Amino acid sequence: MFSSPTSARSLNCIKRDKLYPAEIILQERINNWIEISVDVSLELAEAVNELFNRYAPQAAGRGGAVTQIHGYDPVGNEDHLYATVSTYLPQSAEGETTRQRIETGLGHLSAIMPVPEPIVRIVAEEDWANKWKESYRPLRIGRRLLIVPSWLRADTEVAPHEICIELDPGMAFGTGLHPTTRLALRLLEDAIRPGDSVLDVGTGSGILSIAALKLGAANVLATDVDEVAVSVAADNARKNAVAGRIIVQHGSLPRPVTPFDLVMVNILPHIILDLFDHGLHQYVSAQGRLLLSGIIEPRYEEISAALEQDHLQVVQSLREEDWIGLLARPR
Amino acid sequence: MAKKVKALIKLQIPAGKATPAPPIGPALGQHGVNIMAFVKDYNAKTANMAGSIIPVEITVFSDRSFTFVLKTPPASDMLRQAAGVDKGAGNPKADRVGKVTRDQVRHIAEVKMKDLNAYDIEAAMRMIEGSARSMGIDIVD
Repeated sequence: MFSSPTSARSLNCIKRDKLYPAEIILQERINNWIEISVDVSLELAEAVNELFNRYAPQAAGRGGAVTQIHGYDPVGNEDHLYATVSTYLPQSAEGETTRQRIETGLGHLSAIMPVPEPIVRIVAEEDWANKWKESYRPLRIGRRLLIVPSWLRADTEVAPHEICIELDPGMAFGTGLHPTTRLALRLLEDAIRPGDSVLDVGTGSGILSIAALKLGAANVLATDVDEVAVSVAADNARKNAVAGRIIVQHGSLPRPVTPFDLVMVNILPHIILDLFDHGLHQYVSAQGRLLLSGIIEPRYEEISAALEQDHLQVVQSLREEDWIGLLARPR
Repeated sequence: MAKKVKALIKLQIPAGKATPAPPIGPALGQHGVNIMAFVKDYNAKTANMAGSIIPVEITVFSDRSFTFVLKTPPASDMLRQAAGVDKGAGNPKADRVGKVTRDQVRHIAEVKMKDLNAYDIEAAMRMIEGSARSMGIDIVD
């Protein structure tokens, strides 16, 4: 088919239509939501929470109620605690009908115990999705890597030996703040060799792929089952001027099977195990390395057994909090 | 120095299926919490409980850091699974949607014991039986 997996050209040859569909999350994206909130005493919170869950139940990881308890003071006095119970409905005709039902339900509840009028407002994803960024600061990871939020690039000083990765993770995984990403980046510094061809399964923000390229990899094929991540990773590659050496595609393991010098997977144990079942080891060339992260400690044994079964030997492992990252190579 | 608690957030999420969509996104995002970090941690810790709803209590501190504890599934969720029904009765006085055995009630009470305000297993079982009745689920021996 193609002789050298290390050329960018051969990466282009990989058929995009034959992707192994792991857990593709098909979910229509909604930007505007109707937020219904009621401030109540702690005793009433349960009843309102239950009412919201009844009319706007959990489905596909969204919907349902949330109860927030506020009013904590520094000395731990709990006299002023109160609850805000909220739910979110898509801004649509259906959402509007549900809103009316909830308001009627709250009216019925008021007949038994007084409930304040709900506060209804429209919120957009931008209102909450970006707030955490206010506290996102440049991060130094490993020996040379410096992760810089793209909006702080101009204000950040980069030392001559440092490798700067500009990042706007948006709603994709991979900020450098999470132990799993830090472990993967630290392992990557040791694992990478100049000219490597790299496969990054579950690329998220693209942070590992971009780091690999800046540390000397020749080219990267990055995949993600989340389409948001695919576009975020491509944007980040452009910001870092490595877009010419990376292909980002929607899906999981690429088809046909192609060996790479370095395969990186930073997802979660059950998905890593699923990838092993789908022949993950075949993507690691004879002299190649497999970098795994996102392994939560209680499930390490299962990952270890899967590596053993596929004749992969752990050569390095790192740990942070409950998380383990490791580097393995074929025996 | 102890960190100052800003808010306690209670959510019920299907195990392993947290996403940044509402209500999780706005609930955490408004406090400046890194939403994706929570989603990843929650899914990792609940991946082996798929099919259940696992409530979670997230403590957010004033420096935007957070910790969370997982709770046992809601009694109504466990009763639905035990009775093999999709949902409880709209009018529990008139409609019967299914039944559970006393042993099943005892099992649910045992699992939920640590989250219930019950002194002993009999008291916990009475609470579960109450939930069952309110859903139109009968208890049989």
